Amino acid sequence: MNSVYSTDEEKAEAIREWWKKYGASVTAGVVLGLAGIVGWKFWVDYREGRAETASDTYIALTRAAERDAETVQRQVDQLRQDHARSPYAALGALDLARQKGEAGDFAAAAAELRWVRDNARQDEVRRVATLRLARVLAAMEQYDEALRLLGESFAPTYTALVEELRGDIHRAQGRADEALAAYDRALQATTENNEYLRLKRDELQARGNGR
Amino acid sequence: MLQTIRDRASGWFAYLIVGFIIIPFALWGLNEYFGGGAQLVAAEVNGVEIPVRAYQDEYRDQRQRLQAMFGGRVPPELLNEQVMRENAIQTLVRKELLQQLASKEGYRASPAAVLDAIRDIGAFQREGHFDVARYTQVLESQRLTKAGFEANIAQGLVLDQFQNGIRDSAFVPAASVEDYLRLRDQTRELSYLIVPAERYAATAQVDDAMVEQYFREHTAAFQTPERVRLAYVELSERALVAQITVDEDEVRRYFDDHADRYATPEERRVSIILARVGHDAGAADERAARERIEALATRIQAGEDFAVVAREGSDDELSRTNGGDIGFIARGDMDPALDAVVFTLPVGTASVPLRTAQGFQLAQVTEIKPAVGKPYDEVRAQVEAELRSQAAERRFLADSERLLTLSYENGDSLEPAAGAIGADIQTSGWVSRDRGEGIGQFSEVRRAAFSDEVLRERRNSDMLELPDGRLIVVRVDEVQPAAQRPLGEVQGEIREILKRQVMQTMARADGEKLLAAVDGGDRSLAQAGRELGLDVVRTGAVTRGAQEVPPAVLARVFNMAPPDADRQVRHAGLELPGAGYAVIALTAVHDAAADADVMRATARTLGRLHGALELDAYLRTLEAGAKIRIYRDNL
Repeated sequence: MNSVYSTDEEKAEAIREWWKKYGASVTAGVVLGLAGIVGWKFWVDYREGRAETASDTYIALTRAAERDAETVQRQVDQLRQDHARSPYAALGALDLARQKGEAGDFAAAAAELRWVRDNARQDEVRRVATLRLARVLAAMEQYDEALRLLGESFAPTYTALVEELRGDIHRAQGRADEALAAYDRALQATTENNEYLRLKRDELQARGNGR
Repeated sequence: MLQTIRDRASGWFAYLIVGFIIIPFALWGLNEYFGGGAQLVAAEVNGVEIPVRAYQDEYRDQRQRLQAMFGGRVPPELLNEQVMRENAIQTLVRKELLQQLASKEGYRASPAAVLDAIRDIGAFQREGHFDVARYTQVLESQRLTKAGFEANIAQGLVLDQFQNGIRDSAFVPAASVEDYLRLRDQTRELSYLIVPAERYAATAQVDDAMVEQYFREHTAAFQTPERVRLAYVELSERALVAQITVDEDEVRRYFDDHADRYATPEERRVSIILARVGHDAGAADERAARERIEALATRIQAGEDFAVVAREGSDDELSRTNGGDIGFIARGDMDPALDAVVFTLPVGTASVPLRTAQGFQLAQVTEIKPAVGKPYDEVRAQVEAELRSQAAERRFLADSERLLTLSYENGDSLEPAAGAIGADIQTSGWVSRDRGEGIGQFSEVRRAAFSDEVLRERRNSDMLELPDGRLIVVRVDEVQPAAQRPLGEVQGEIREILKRQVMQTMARADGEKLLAAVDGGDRSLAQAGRELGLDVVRTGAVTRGAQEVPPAVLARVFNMAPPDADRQVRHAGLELPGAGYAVIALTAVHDAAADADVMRATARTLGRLHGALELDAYLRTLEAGAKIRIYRDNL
């Protein structure tokens, strides 16, 4: 390959030519690349910082949870506004739903759970919210809507929970046979010892025996 | 091609290329490229490898936890190697998966939250308050760096948030809580009688034909198991301790040589100032830190108070507020560089700047608690015991080596090994595959005794370690083969079994007749009982956990339909295997009503339970969706 450039001057000349032609693009490329790297680093730091802020807000709201409903409400709203895509917004809303539900305000609890169901980024968090929403709707005697939610696609790992709730709804509707069948499916799928489920099932079965 | 590259790789063009290559290294560091290296992998979770070392640590931790739980004597069925290995690897896999997920989904812990969590840890507190010296000491004694420990805490916080966030936010509507309590605390009133099998002891008949038939159908049950008598040699450290004698001179000499071990060691109260700079920091940072510490040292030399300078200039957040005080320190508690200086400094003089793992430090001793020696007479017994156990340990090691080698090399006899360690050959009682006394109680001994090598080839066993620390080698001394017992020898046993069966059948027949009579309304259970001369037990309202009713009867009672207008008493029968037949009358069911306090507490428990079930479903779904590979060959 030495034959292409016979002297050093020629070689230098060729490189100078090349630089004249492409120099600007190369420089621009390097600058762009460096800017990209710096920008990316900055973006990562910024994102980490925001995630930490969301985390701190969430910690504060779980600490305030039992004492001060207003603070919790405000902090959850703030998470929703500033960090809607953070998991902490969903967790905060789930906790708010629990407070509302424990206080008997099912409509408000359902609204929180609906928000999680519509906005959480994690599939499984949405799924858990859906299950809880169905439970609240059942308590509000909106049985058809609750059953419709339970009919959505739940992974087999949720079978015990879904079928127990389905049994609860049928039992409340006075459909004892369907309730018993659902409870049996739940018991079959359950891995843990769920005392309440067993009690409900046994009562239905005993009543059936008496007929 | 290479030639071309070499020709062109000179002058500014070459520097340009080298410059390009430098950029990634400058930004990300060399270790990212060469980190890890070849190491055995236990499992892979979504492409992230879990090294075998982490698995071994986890396995050991779980084993130790188990041992601690049972005070060192773990029931052998729990010490199932395979199950424990599986548990360890599953724990690690789930943890790794959770970590990946938490990180991907944006769970984070801020430095402030980490600091808060550390302040709450009991091990770092003195009199209920966080104590910096203690924190530093505990970490150093565990050989942990602050950065590593704090990263660990952050990780733990994030996992807690993730899991608690799902689990603790579940709730159960009040009506369900009420319903649960109504069922759980429900009480029932009943009476029952038992037609006991014993009642038919005199009338039950068993004839020879029945005995023969039973014998024919159950021959295998009437065999004596194969049994062996074992000869064995044992080596026990405890026994060796008793054999060893130590003379007074030796004890005295050992005490003189190791006087510091029998003293409360010297402690010094230390203050420090830190200019933080890591070992891997660049030369510029290093120089900056050195200049900073030297400036601070100058101020102290000029007469400024160490504490004031520490408060203003130290980088150690934890001790700075206390004027650099990190409390009392014993030799070996700190960084070696610091340790060497602190234990030579007089009180009140600041050290020169020292380079430690954390950066540049100044130290000052504020108080000295001198070492306090103990008199010889007070510790004589302790020194002697120590000498004896040291000697015993040495002998135990040497003898175990001999026992192992000689019993293996002379597989046909225990004598050479026994002779070499000065032990007697002992003989066990009869040991079967699943039962034995003395050394036969240990499953590892039985397993070895019935292995092909020992039982069929009549060779010495491997050296076995018993759970109490003894080492033994066994060989089979005598074998008693399995044998069929003749009908004549076992017919008494069979007659007894059959008689019980007949008695049970008769009790059931009468019990069912009685049930039909009371259920048909001919008479009450009390009347029927009187006629047969059987006691009827009448209970008040009993709960599901009632102690006064036999558990089987109680379970049946709570599974009966409640009485109603048509049937004011419900009846049921229940066979009690071997004990007879129970007839039950259920007269009333009382649903429980809960007060507000119980409701509140139960709502919380029930909510948590649901939350735990939901979290479990959540995690199992994730596991199903993750790419998990476990390399069992490497475990």
